[in-house]
Amino acid sequence: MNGDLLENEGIKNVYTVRDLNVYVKSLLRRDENIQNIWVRGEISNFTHYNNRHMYFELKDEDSIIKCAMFRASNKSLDFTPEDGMEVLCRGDVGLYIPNGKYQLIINEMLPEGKGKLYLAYEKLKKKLAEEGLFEDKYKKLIPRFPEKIGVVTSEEADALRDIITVTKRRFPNMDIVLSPTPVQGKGAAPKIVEAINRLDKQNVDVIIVSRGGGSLEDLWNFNEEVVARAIFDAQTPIISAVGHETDLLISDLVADYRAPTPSAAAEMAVPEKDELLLKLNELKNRAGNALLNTVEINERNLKNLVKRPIFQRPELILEEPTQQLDELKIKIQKNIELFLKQKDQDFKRKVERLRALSPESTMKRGYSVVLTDKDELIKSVDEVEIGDKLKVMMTDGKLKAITEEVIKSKKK
Amino acid sequence: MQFEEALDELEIINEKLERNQVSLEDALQMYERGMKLIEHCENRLDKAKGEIKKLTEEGCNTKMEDLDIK
Repeated sequence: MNGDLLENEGIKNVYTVRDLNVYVKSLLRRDENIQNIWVRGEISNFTHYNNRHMYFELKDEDSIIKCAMFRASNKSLDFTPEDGMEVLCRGDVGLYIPNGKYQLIINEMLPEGKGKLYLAYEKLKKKLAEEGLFEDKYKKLIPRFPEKIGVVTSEEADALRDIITVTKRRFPNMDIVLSPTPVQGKGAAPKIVEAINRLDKQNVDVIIVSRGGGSLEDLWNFNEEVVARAIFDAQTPIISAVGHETDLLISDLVADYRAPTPSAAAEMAVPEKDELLLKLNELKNRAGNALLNTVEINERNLKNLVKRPIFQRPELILEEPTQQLDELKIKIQKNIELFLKQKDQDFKRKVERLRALSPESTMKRGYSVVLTDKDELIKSVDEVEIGDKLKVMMTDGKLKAITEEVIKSKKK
Repeated sequence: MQFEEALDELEIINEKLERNQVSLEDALQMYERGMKLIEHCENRLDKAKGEIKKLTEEGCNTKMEDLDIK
């Protein structure tokens, strides 16, 4: 069809086949429901070209899907897939653009037996995670200085020997209590639970739950729910050290601490005694030096104090006040003299004024004072009768007189 | 007293002493306290006897017995 025809038909967009495949592939890739999923099935038409990529189909009774597992993923397989094998695969649904067929790109593959365990593991992990059993807020602190450590493992386990060796090396007189239990095989899980519970009641500061490396089946008891719950419920802090570093078990997730190996667990739990003694010694020396320093500083301060002028010539303390006192004395003396001088002048002035007021000066001007013969001052003619004897006082002497006549002025 | 508490207190005492801001009397007292704490810690480190025991079940009772390591 050419452009004109298309326009006549009203058609705007036409995909190329490739564009369509690319688009559908992108749709599949975007759908989270079919990315990183587990699929169970039987292998058929298995091919492994030049030991590189693996191509096969997964089928069940009435359905089939094309699968590819690339070199990067299949090189870590610990078994050889073959036709007829029941497997469990984890992968992403995609589409191979050149042939337009949809397929499963597989990242991980497990034989069915193992696969079942994996699924159980994933299921329990999800359940316990939802309950919050792995949350940090429930993690107890491993004590830094335990007095006694507890171990839950088998009496014959290499793990026990490793833990004891490392503990004795780090802290030769550390007390160890083993709570023995089988650590593999069917029925071991409840025994592990009992061993944990028994040890939890003893007076140990930390418990190491341990067993050495092994197959997934060997380690399986530590993925059991009862064991997980016993670890979670224990009052004593627990270090989980099960399998190798690459094995992450439920017991590791739920324990207060996870150690990659039994030896590492002992290193985590047990402090190095020599180091602690060294530390104590250092603290002792520091305290001694600091005290010596304080004494020296005090001594120096005392010496400096003694050198100060006040202690060398204590009389200096009085120098200033003495001078002040002298100044005050001089001032007071001056003031008193001034005061007395003023008082003297006042007095003299008052005497002058008093003198001006005394009868003496009046009498000097010619007035006299008349008294009765009993020396009573006479102020009115009414006080005198004819024949009364009178004294007349003058400035230069006195007269004695007798009243001849009383003449009263008419004005008054 | 816990070992850890004793260590913490020792650290505090040392810091105070090293800052030289305490009186001589206080410094002497703190030093004395520090030496007691160190003695306590040293005793604590030697307290354990290095015993290796195992728990055994006898009926309903938990028993403790010596463990022989092969």
